[in-house]
Order: sequence, then C-alpha cells, then structure tokens
Amino acid sequence: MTAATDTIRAEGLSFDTLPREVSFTVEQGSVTIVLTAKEEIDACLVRLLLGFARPAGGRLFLFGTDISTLTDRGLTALRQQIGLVYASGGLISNLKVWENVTLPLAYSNRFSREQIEQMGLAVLDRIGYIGKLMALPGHITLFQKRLAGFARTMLTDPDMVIYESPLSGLNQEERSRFLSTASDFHLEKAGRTSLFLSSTPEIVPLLKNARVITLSQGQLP
Amino acid sequence: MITALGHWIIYRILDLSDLVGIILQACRNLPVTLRIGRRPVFTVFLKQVYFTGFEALKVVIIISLTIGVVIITQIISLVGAGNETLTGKVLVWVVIRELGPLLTAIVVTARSGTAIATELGYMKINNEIESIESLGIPASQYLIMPRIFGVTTAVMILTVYFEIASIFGGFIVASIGWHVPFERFSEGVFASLTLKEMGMSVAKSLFFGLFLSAACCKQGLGVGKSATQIPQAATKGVMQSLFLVFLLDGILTVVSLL
Repeated sequence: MTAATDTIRAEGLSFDTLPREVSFTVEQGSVTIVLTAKEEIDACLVRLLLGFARPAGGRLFLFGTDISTLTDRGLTALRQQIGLVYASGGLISNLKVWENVTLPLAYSNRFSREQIEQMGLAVLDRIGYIGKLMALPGHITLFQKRLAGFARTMLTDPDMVIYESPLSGLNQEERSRFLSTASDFHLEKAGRTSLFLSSTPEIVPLLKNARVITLSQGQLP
Repeated sequence: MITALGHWIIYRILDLSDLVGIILQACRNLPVTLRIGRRPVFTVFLKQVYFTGFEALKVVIIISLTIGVVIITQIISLVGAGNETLTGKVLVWVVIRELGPLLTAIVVTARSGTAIATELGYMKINNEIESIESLGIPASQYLIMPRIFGVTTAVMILTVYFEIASIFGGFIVASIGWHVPFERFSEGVFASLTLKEMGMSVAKSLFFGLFLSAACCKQGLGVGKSATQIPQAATKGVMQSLFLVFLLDGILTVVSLL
C-alpha cells in the first residue's frame, strides 16, 4: 500500500531499457527530477506511468492505485488527472495547432466555443506562443510544438504534470523560458506534482528546490 | 494442404470476430459520445463523410453513368427495344441489388480504405495514438468510431447516387439510341423497384461500409514500429475489405432469397 502523500510509488520496477530494479517515490505537491541515463528511458518511463506498457518486474502506484489493476476505463480516468508534455510536443499531425491545443477542452463538453477560444488564447499568450495557430504541426518548430503541447496540458489543469526530456532540442534561452513557465504553473494549484524526466543533468541547477532522483545509480533513498 | 486450409479458415474466422468486436465497440461508444466528446468526434465524422463521400462523388457518378450505359445496351441487344418492363426489371436487379452497393464499396475501399489504414499506421508509428490516449481520450472513441460511421454513411449515400446515375445513364442511351420515351422507361423501372429491392441495397451498403472501414482501421492500428509496415497495412486493409465485401454480398444475396 502506498502512503497517501505519494503521487507515484515504484517498487522494484524494471523494464527493457532499465534492467536493474529501481524503487522510488514522488511526493504529492513536489517538484521532482528523475535523472536518467538516456532519453530512451524517459520515453519508456512515460509509457509505464500512463499505463501504455507494463513493467518487466515490480509494481507502480499512481495516486495510491496499482496501475496494473486498472481497466481501460480506469486508465482513461487516471490519464485525465495527468498532464503530459512530450519532448516532441505530442501534437496530432492532422489537426491544426489550435485544434491540438483546445482538443481536451472541446472533448470535455464542459465549455462553450467562446469560453474555449478565450481560455486557449489566454494560455497561448501566457506561455508566449508566437507561431501560426492554423498551421499543421509539421510546419512549426520543435520549441513551438513543445509550447503548444504545454498549453494543451495547462488547459486540462492536471493534478500531476510529467515533462518528458524537457531540455532536449532547446537552446539556453528556450530552456529557461520553458522551465520558468513550468515552475509558475506548478505553484498555481495546491498539491500539484511536477515530474521532470530528463537525461540532461543541466536541469538540476535550473529547477531550484527540486528533489533529484538518479535512476542510473540504481536503488534510491 | 488440409492443415493449411484449416489454419486459413480459423484465421479468417478470428479476423472476422475481431472486426465484429470493433464494430460493436463503435456502437457502444455512440451513447458515451453523446455525453462526452460530442463536438470533436462529430468533427472527425464530418471530415470522414466529406473525404469518403463528397470527394468520391465525381468518380462514382462517372462509373455509374458508364455502367448504366453498358447494362442498358446489353439488355436491349438481348431482349430488343420494345420490352421496357423486362428492361427495367433487369436494370433494377443488376444495378440496385448488386452493382450499386458492390461497386460503390470497391471505389470507397480503393480511395478511403487505403487512406484510413495509412493515416492510422502513420499515427501509430509517431506515437500520436498514445498522445491522444494520454489526454484521457480513448482512441476507439475519437479515431475509430467516427471513421467507421463516417465511411458507412458515405457508402450508403454514394450507393443511392450510383443507382440514380446508373438508371439515368441507361435512360439517356435508351432514349437516344432506341427512342424509348421517359414514361415507358420509368414505368418499367418503377414496376420492378419494390421496397425489398431498396431494402436489400441499403442493407448491403450498410454492411459493406461497416466491415470495410473496420478492416482498414484494424490494419492501420496493427502497424508496429517500422515504416515499411504502413504500405503493407494499406494493402492488407484493401485485400481484406474486398474479400469481406464479396463474402457479405454472397451471404446477403442468399439470405434475401430465403
């Protein structure tokens, strides 16, 4: 059983790209960096945390529930609590940038078109997105894709945000801007957990007060 | 030889049960979508109807006019120009019962079946399907259901256009070539056009649309990690769809005679 204050608890977790077992916890409301040996592990961890892949060994608890016990419907409900910012942006290639950003809001059926437009434009303005909104994702830069993916996550107001390889492919200025927005967003909701999965150690000084877990060194405190 | 045949039959039955499962899942998702996800799912549905139905209309009309011309010429050369009742009957039997739903399904399979399998395969390789599911949006509801119902709607509408254009094409040739007046020609057609004939046409286009779209969706989602699997998925989707369309055509025709 996982403690009530742990958003994530991994017990003896092992998978293809990380054969050595790892155990760690991510506390609710914390900013945690999981340092990995390579980006491939970040992607693999994302798949495990969202229930797209099963670990080779061990157990993984999210919000107190062993995710291997969840049905498809349970996994869908769990994913609605989590915001994921993919390294590639995670945008759908046949939807325009604007449609990508507002997709979760339109899907939720909770807001009118006018409200969605207002909320979408506000969040894009806030994160400083200056690219084309009616272009397909193939026509914008990686940073713009990342920002659009982040805007989409912000609109869902999740309890936990996972950032996959957040520094990958960005220059120094883009990194600072992105992490600064992520830090501000973390503080906006009480109890929100922010998990940064990164293979770049330069992220540690950029995120002050973050707890660091180094997966490449095996068993963790 | 017998073992191989047995394997092939078992594989086909399992495949068919998978497709039935996909179609039933789409039907189950329908009431859920009315509560949540209505707007984006309906947008995908409309896009599918547009790409499959509207954009294929020109091709279908040209094919159907040609088919109408060919059939009426063959019938008149067989039975002569004075027998409008028989001409109408054969035209209705051939076009409404058989060729309308069948050829429309073949055109849709060639145009949209490949497109669906390729698009879903590309999305699978680029992790876009996982990206959609990571938002708490089930792919079966957002990607599959509107494609299945969109293609089915388009096949049913295109079949009606096909049949109207075929009969019209037949009339043009009969009128110009053999001076058959519209009244006599339409009398022959409408005398044979019963509710059963139209029901059979609707039932065929419904089943063809459901199964061909489900087959192409299944093949697209079955793509693994290699780009070479995308064209393979498209080819398999088309072949499986054609096989199913002919199989269902045979089954429904036999059932209608019972």
